[in-house]
Formats: sequence, C-alpha cells, structure tokens
Amino acid sequence: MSAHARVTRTRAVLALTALLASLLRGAAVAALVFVLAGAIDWAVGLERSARVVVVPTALVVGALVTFVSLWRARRALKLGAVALWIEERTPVLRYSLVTALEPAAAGAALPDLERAVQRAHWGTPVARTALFVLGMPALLLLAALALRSLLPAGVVSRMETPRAGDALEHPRSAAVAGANRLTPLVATVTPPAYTRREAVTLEEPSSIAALASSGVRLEGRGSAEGITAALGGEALEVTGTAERWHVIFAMPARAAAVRLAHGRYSRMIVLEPRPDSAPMVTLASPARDTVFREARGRLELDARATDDMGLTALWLEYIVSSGEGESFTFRSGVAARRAARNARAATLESTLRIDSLGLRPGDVIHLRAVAVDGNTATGPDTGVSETRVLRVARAGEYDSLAVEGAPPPEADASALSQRMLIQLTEELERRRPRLARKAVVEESRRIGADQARLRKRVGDIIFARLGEAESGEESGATMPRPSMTPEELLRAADEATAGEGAHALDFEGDETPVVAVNRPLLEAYNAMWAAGRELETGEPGAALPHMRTALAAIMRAREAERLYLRGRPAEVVVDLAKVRLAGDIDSASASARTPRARLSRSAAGRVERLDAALIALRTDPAAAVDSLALLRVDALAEEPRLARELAAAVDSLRAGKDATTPLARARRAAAGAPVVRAHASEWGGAW
Amino acid sequence: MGGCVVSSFIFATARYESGDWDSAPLVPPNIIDTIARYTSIDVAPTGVVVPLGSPDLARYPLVFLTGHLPVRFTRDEREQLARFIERGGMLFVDDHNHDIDGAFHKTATEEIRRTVGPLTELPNDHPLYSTFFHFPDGPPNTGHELNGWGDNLLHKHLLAVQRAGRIAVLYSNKDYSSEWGYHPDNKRFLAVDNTRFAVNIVVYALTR
Amino acid sequence: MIWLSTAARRAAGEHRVASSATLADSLAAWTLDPGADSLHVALDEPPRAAERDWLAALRRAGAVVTWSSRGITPVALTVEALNDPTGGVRASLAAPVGARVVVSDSLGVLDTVVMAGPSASLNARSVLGAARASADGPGASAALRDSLARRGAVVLGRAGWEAKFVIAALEESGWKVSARLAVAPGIFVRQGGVELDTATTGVVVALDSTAARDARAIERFVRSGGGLVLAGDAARSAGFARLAAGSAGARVRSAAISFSDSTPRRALGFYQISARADDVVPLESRDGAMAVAARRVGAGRVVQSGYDETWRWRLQGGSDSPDAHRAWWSAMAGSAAYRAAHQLPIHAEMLDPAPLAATFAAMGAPVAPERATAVPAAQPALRGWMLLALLAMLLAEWASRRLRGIS
Repeated sequence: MSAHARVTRTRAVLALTALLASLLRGAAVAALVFVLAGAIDWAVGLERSARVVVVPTALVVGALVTFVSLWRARRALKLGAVALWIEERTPVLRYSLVTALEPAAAGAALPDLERAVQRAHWGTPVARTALFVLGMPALLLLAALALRSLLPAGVVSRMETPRAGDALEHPRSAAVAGANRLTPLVATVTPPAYTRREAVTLEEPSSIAALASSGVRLEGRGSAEGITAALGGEALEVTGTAERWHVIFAMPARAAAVRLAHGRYSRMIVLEPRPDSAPMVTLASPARDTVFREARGRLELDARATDDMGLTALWLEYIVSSGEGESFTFRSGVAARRAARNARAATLESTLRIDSLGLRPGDVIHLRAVAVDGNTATGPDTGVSETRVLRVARAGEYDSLAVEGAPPPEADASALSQRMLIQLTEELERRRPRLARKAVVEESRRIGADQARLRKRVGDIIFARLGEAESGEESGATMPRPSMTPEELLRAADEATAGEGAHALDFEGDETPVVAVNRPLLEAYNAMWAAGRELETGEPGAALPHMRTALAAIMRAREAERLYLRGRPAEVVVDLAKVRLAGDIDSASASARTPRARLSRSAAGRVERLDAALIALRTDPAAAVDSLALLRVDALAEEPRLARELAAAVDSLRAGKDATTPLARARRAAAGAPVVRAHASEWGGAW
Repeated sequence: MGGCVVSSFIFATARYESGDWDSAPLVPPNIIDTIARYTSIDVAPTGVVVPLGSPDLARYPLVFLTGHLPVRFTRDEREQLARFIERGGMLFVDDHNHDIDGAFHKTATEEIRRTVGPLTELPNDHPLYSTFFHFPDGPPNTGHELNGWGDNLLHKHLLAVQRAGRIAVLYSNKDYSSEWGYHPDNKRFLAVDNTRFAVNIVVYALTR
Repeated sequence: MIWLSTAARRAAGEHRVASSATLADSLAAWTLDPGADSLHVALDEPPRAAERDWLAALRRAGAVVTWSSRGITPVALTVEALNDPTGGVRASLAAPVGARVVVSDSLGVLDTVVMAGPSASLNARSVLGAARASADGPGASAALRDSLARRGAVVLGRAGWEAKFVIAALEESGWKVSARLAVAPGIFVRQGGVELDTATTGVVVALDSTAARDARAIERFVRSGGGLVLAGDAARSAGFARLAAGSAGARVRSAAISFSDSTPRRALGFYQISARADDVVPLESRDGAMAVAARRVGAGRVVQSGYDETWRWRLQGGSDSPDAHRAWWSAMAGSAAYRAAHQLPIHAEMLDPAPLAATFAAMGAPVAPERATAVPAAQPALRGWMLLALLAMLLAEWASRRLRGIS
C-alpha cells in the first residue's frame, strides 16, 4: 500500500473517531443538562412552562457541542495534517511520509521515501488516540446516564413529558407523617360525553368552571386516610391507594364550594357551573306573517339552527286551527325534519305544498322551527324560532269597504308621546327669553333624547314589519339613513319587502301592503330625525315644525293601518256613576294581607359578610380567605361583578400578594359607590 | 289607549301577534262594571288594549290575555312579559276553549313556562279566594266547562306562577272569557252575579 | 463672647418653638423644664387631640402658649346612621371650597370629595370603625355614636297601584309594614294593626285622603316624635293642614316621556307644594315647583311628596329602576321616621371631629408666624463654635508665650 493510501486510511480512522467523539460529547452534555434540570426540579419544583423547554434545550446544547467539537477536529480531514500528526508520533519516519505525499517535492527520491514509509508502523498511536478521544466523552455520557438513573422516576417523567397534572408525580410529597396531603392537588374535569370535549387538568385550582354535570376528580398524594371532603354540606367519599387519594363528584347546577380537610389543613375550591345553552333557531323563510287568497301554492321553508355543543334534530312543525266563534278544531304536524348528528349548525330547507294541508277559508297555520341539542346530562334543551302565522282569507274579506281595521296601539302611543314632546318644546320656547342659553340647550337636549327614543320605537315598528331586522337603529343595510328623502325611504322599503311566496292581501296598485302602511311612519321617522338635530343644537323653535310634521304623519299612519282585518270590537263605556256601589257587599270581607319578604338577594347582607371578612383578615387570614371564597359562591349568580372582584382578591391573598386594590373594588361592588352630595342638607337622611 | 291620566286602575287586554287576542271583547267592560259595583276602587270606564311586545305593557300592572288559537310569543313579547313580571306585574290568562288538550292551552302553558317558569296548581285555600268575596271551594265553576265543547271537564284548580309568594301569572282553564263575555247591563237578569270572582282577582292584584 | 453665649442661653430659657413634627418630643421637654415660660408651636397640620390637650394644660399652668399655622386646611366631620333597614351611614363634611378631602374608614378609602361648597355629605352603605376625612395631615375623625332600633311603618291609603308598590318597596327594603287599604265602604285590606305609637311604629305613610280619618291620632303621633310621609293628594285633607309642609296645589305634568337613570322623576307628575311656613325645608323641586318638602312638627318630622304615581318609575323605568324606587321610598320613610337611638360605646380619645376648630378653642387664635422669634436650632452649634474659638485663642496665647523664646 503506498504512503498515500496508508495516510488516507489513517485519515478515515481519525475522522470517524472525531465524529464519534463529537457525538458522544454532545450526548453527554445534553444528558447533563437534563440531569441538572431534573435535580433542580427535584429540589425546588419547576413550573411546567420551564420543564417543557428542558428536553429541547438539552438537545440544542448537545447539538451545539457536537458541532463545535466537529469544527475543532476539522484538521483531521486534511491529508497533510494527518501526515504531520503521524510523523509526530512516529519519529522513525523523519518526514519521509510528508515528503512522500508530495511527489513534486520528492522527485527521484520517491521510491526511497516509499520504502522508508513501508517500514514504519503507526497503528498503535492511532488506536491509543482513538481510545483516548472516545473514552472521555463516553465516560461522561455514562456518568450522566448514571446520574439520570438516580433521579426519581417522577422527576424523569416530569422532565421528559411535562403535562398538566404531573404535580402529583413530584417526589416532594406527603410521605412524611403529618404533612399536608391537600397539596399538590390536581383536578381533572371531564365534560359530559355528548359535548365530545376533551378532559381538562388543572393544578392547584382555587376555582373550577365547567359545564354543569361535568365529572370532577380531585386527586392528591398520599393515602385517603384522614381526608374528608364535603360539597355544599354533603359529605363526599374520599378513596384511593396508598400513593394517591381522590374524590369524584359531578359539577352541580348551581355555584357551590368543595371543602377538603386533612387534620389541621383545609382547602376550599369554588365550583362555577356553566349551563349548556339552548339552541338558537331562526326561521328565515317564510320571513313574515302572510295571508293567502286561496289555499294553494308552494311555500318555501328555510330554517337554521346553531348550538354551542351539538344538535341532534331540527324540524318544522305547524298547527292548523279551523273554526270560528266558539268552535275551533286543531291539528298539528311536522312539515320537514332532519337529523343533525351533533353538528353545531344545521339548516333545513323544504317546500310546503299548501293544498296538501287541506285548508279551508279562515284556517290559520302557526309554523315554527324547533331544534333539540344532544344534552344527555341535564336533558335535551329545545330552541324554537319565531312563529309565523299564515292565514287563509275568508271570501268576504276582499271587500275592503266592509272592513274596519283595529287601531294600531303603537301609533296611538307614539302619537301621545309626540304630542307631549311638542307641548314640552313649545313651553321651552315660551320660557326661552327668560332662561340662560346653557339652560335652554340642556333642556332642549333632554327633549331631544326623548325624541330620539321615540324615533327608535317608530323605527322598530317599521323594521319589524319590513323583515326580521333588529331595531332599525342598530341593524345595518336596511336602516334608513337620516338624510334619505321620502322617495329613497320608500324605495328602501320596497326593496326590503320584495320576496317570493304566496301573495299577501291588502295592497293597492303596485305597492306592497307593508309600504302602503309604512309610508306615513317612514315620513314620521324622517321628520323626527330632523327635529332631533335641531333639539340637539339647542334650537327648540326650529325643531317644532318637524315635530308637528311627525305627529301629522303618525296620525295618517293610524288611518292607514289595516293589518287587523277583524272588525273593530264594539266599545262599551261603563256608566260608573250609575253602577257605583250598586252591588251587595254584605257578604264581602277582605282577608288580611301577608307581608312580602325582604329581598333575599340582600346587598346589605353581603356587605356585612364582606366587612366581617375584611376585619378577620387581620387576625385569621386563612379563615377570612375562606369566607371571601364562600361569599363569591353566593354572589356568582346574582352579582357577577362582585364575584369577579372577590375571585381576584382571593387569588391575590392565596398567592401572598397585595390584595388591597381588588378588595377595595369588591367592597365598592358590594356596597355601591358612596353617594356624594355637594351640600350637607339641613334635613339629613337621603337629602 | 288614552283613558285617564291619573287613574288607579285601567283594565288592560293584551294583544299578542299569534292569535285571536280579542275573542272576548265584552269581558273588559263587564269586569269594569263589576269593580265599580262592589268597590270604591277608582277604575277607568273603558279598558285598553296593549301590545304584549310593547314597553307600554308596564303602564298596566294587571293584564288580561285570552283566545282560542295557539299562543306563540314573539321575541319582543317574551322579553316584555318577562320584564313585566320581574317588576311586579300580573298576567291573568284564560283559555277561551276550556280545553286542556287544545292548542291554546298547550301552547300558552309552554310559552309561559319558557318565559317566566312553569305553572303549578294554586291551592283552593289560597288568599285569592278570600280577598274580597269568599269562595271556600276554590275557583267558581262556569257554565261553559261542561257545555260539550272543549275538554268537557270541571277544572278544580287554577294554575299560577308565583314570585316571592305572590301570584305573577294566574291561568284559568275554566273559560271565564265565555262566562263573563256579556254586556254588563245583562247582569240584572242573573240571580247571582257570576263576575264576583273578578273582584277578587283585581283586589288581589291591587293590594298584594 | 461669653456674654453672647450666655445671652443665647438666656434667650433659650424664655421662648421655645416647636413644629408639628417635633411637637410630641417638645411637649415632654417643655413640661419637665421649668425654665420654659413662652412656648410657640408652628403648625403645618392640626395637632392630635392629646397634644392639643397638653398644650391647653400648659397654658392653664401659666405658660404663654402661642401657635401659628402654615396653610392648614380646616376639616370637620360627623357621622350618623341612616334610619333605613338597608343600613348605611351619612358622613357630613365641612372644608373650604376647592379642598380635596379623602374620606376613609378603618378598611380603606371610601371616596374623595372635591368641595364645591363649604359643606358636603357622603352616604355610604357601611363605615367600619372610625371615619376619617383629611385634606392634609391626619384630618378629622368621627365614629357612629349611636345605633338605631328599627320601628315599623304604617301605610294608609286606598287600594291601588301606588299603595301596592309603595308597600312592596318598603317591605322589600326590610321595613315591617302595617297597612290599611280601603277597598269598599267599611271594607279594608289590612296587614297588622295600625298602632300610632313610637314604641312600635316609626313612620306613617299617608298615600291619599283616606288616611285623613286618623289625622288627629297621626298628629299626636308626630308631635310625640313619630314621622309622617304625606304623599300624593293626602296633604289636601284638612286634617293634615297643621302637619303638612304646604298645600297640595295644581298638578304639574311630567317633563319627560321616559325614565332616565339620572333624573327618573322627571317623567312623573306631582302635586305642587306651596309652602305655608318659614320652617319648610325644600327637598326636591322641578322648574320652580316644589315636589318634595319637609318640616319639623313638635318632636316629629313630616316629609311631603307631591308624587302620586311613583309605581310607574318601578315598572317603566330602566334596569335599575326597581332598586332605585325601593331605595327612594325607604330613604324617604327613614328620613322622617322616629329615631330610637342607642348610644354606642366609643373611645372618645381616638376621635377628633374638628381638629382645627378644637385648636382654636383650646389655644385661641393663632399668631402671625413672624412673632415666633426663636433661638434657632443652630444655637447649640453656635455655642460649640464659640467654645472652640475660645479654646483656640487660649492655645494660641499659650503657644505664643512658649514659642517666643525660641525665636
């Protein structure tokens, strides 16, 4: 084998050695990092957020060490350096190896040099070096692994797979007699199966919020002996092994507290149940009540439902009422149905053939969508949509001259309120010369606020009729802008009422009935906007013409209203003077009244309890914290703000932090802010 | 909807969207007549109609609701009624079909349960039955309960939803709407005034 | 120099000065040192009650005690229990306009009041321990001096919505209510007995003219210390003429169509009260018309309210209106009701309701700060320097003698 070949082979051996050594070093360092973190966790207990990064950190550090080591050993890849290294350890070569590797330099002496190289042997130093280079990191790695094996199994698993609830695996435990077995405490909350949600694990919980009927398992280290648990006054069974105790219960329907006790130690956990919401159902089609000329045609049905957990079914049900006067018959049925298979949203579209219902003139159909969720824990919840009333007209109803409409109470009330606002504004305008400008503006704005409220009510009436839009003041596209002309308003109303389906009754020409009815209300709405603007700028005089226009429009809406096609009920006015005390009351005697109870949700009672707990904080902080936690349980349903502040205060106190601010806020939430008056009245009390 | 501005008592009938809310138009004047006959309560001579879904419901702390057809509250009606009851208002509902298998009863009780809570039987010794006149056997029967229509049953109890020991919703299957649905002038033809129980209901509402 | 140093000692023996910070130590020193016969305190905060009493004692012992102040904000405080089953305390403050007064109790700050006038009041649900009001320094402190034994309320009126919801408001607030509601001639809905005796009843609420049949008994009750609330048109009855704050005149219409949270009663009409006597205290007015007024009659109190449909506020108002309606009626009844007070044991030495005023009372008016001529605190230092200078001169003298010969 030539010198070159032999050096090349040696280079390969050295390179491999360097690689292995680098890997061993990296592994050893990574193992040492792991062991060090484990030792710290064993000593003081690391948070899960810190343990999660231990393994990745160890790997990164190990990789770094490997890389640096490899980099430093890169010389082993160069033939010349390897040759020099061999020369250094094989003096007999006398640089013949290095020279032989450079034929140009060797020249004619190359054969002699080759012979000299052949006579030399450097296997032993190579082997010794390899042993040494590999041995140290290998020993280090072995040592690290040995140290790892000395770590308690719980620590190793906490380092390798940190997860919620592994606090119980920490070796610092209640093995010592008399130690507190209520900490560490782990709670596992398993939602009801129908929710298909994962269980959640909490460490050292002071409160648990979960769906009502969720399964709750509290677990701690040590045996169950001597540990008691009670939920709302009822004892719970505490069981377990020598290593672990646990108690299992279901999340109650109302807020409560679980008390744990072990000797002189005690612990309280607040339970905050969350109810499963009922499904939300909307009936998109038909969009509004309708009257049919004839009982035939097709009605498109479109229902939608959503649920927080999952739906099981969605259907459309109807009730057909037939008859008149005092004699009615009813039949009900399901127009369409579908299974929802636990989907969180479902739609049901169908077509109802009107003639399939066998309807007669005068019949009324009540149609609605119903959805049921999959709540198997507390019973399925049912959600229903708004009901649509569909009526088949009677023959005589087409003669509009024969029908009087019942007056619409909304317009009546609006007219009454608008009249009053006009009176107030006129009065203000009369007093205006005697008032300061500031007072005029203030009073004008107050009237303007009332005008705005009235305008909103008129808007609600309009938009309730145009479709299912929420109040016009809050909804989006269909809301009329304040600056719309009456023509624009009517066009918006026309667009909003366009739709398919059976023809509705009561329209003139090419107007839809909703537009015909609402035209004056839309004008009133616009006039109220204008009046509101003037009132807001403190110009009551300028607002009056608009307000009178609005009133006139409302009065016209009264006359135009024809939604109730039944006859106006005959009004009977009782002659009170004639009949007053004309009856025989000899047998009458009023029974005694019994008092109403003081309101149970007594704010005063909570204030007293809070004050008592605050006083107790100075002398018995642990008991005071428990009192605050119990008060929070009581306040959860009726005073959520107080409950929130108490939660913050309890958490701060348990963590040993300053709780002054949350306690002050809790006190204000319980007692309300003090009422300050800018003068001390000579009367006292509330004045 | 005017009536007196300052009047102690205005009889209000609820108008709801889904059914024949005005099936008993003579009940209001008849009850007004009865109140005036037996008490000195300041009562308005005519009744009013108030939409169940309107904030104006709160102007009339006692509201009467009846009908034959199914009752399905709209969202506004449900909200206003819940608020009305929460603040101390009282709703008196009468099934004009007197039929516990009928659509009015089934739907109305469902809507009431959904809105304010389930109806339970009112015991026949409840103070309602002695608030003014005495009805030792509980709610007086009507001549319509056994007329062959409806469920043809004598309904022994009224139903109620109570709040803090007070009746918030009073529900009747006894068809007082038919029993009291006549012109008040026709009382003179009756041997015993069959509207006296209405006095108890109104006095209860005004004093408890 | 000797004269100067002794002159300083002479001056120090005649007149001594202390500040607020050194007052506590100085008082002991002054008391023990018979040479101190002129004492001045330069205060930048009111002295504590014990210190003030000590200064007054020194004054009485013959020392000339003067004081001056540097911008102390005078604050006075008193607290009383509200006559309301829901509890509550009223703190009355006096301080200069613009002063920022922090009101607190033993548990912390209750509120901060910026004085818009010379007096203010603060109603709080609870005040634990002593209440404190301070603008600078320790401030004024006061505590409840008595607790109130609750008496019942009697409601008289005709059956109607106002009676129903007034009784509901009072009962839900915790009042024990007896009632008599007229339904028909001779027929009343009763609850409990109408006992017009301050041993059991604290206040009578007359909602309308039907209460007038008991007008005489009610008058006796009020004059013996009971309370009366005349509501609606009750004041129109001749029987209440001697008790009412004024006549119930024309009805004033509501000034709003909705019940705002801040001024809900603007949406209510009322019978305008025309005050009859000078002792009437107007409590609530709207646009110049008096809606609620009060007066004292004998040992009792009468509150007259022209509102007759407050039930609308409860039913038609905003989300807080049932609570607000309840609180208003409870407060109105409480402000008129008989106060059956039981004195509480208090540690008077810990309270100081008007510290600056008490200082005035104990030590007279302050003097101008310039009059406080004092040996400065550096006096001991001056004496030390002078002594050093003396020694240095003696040393120099001796050294000069010794060294003269050498040169």
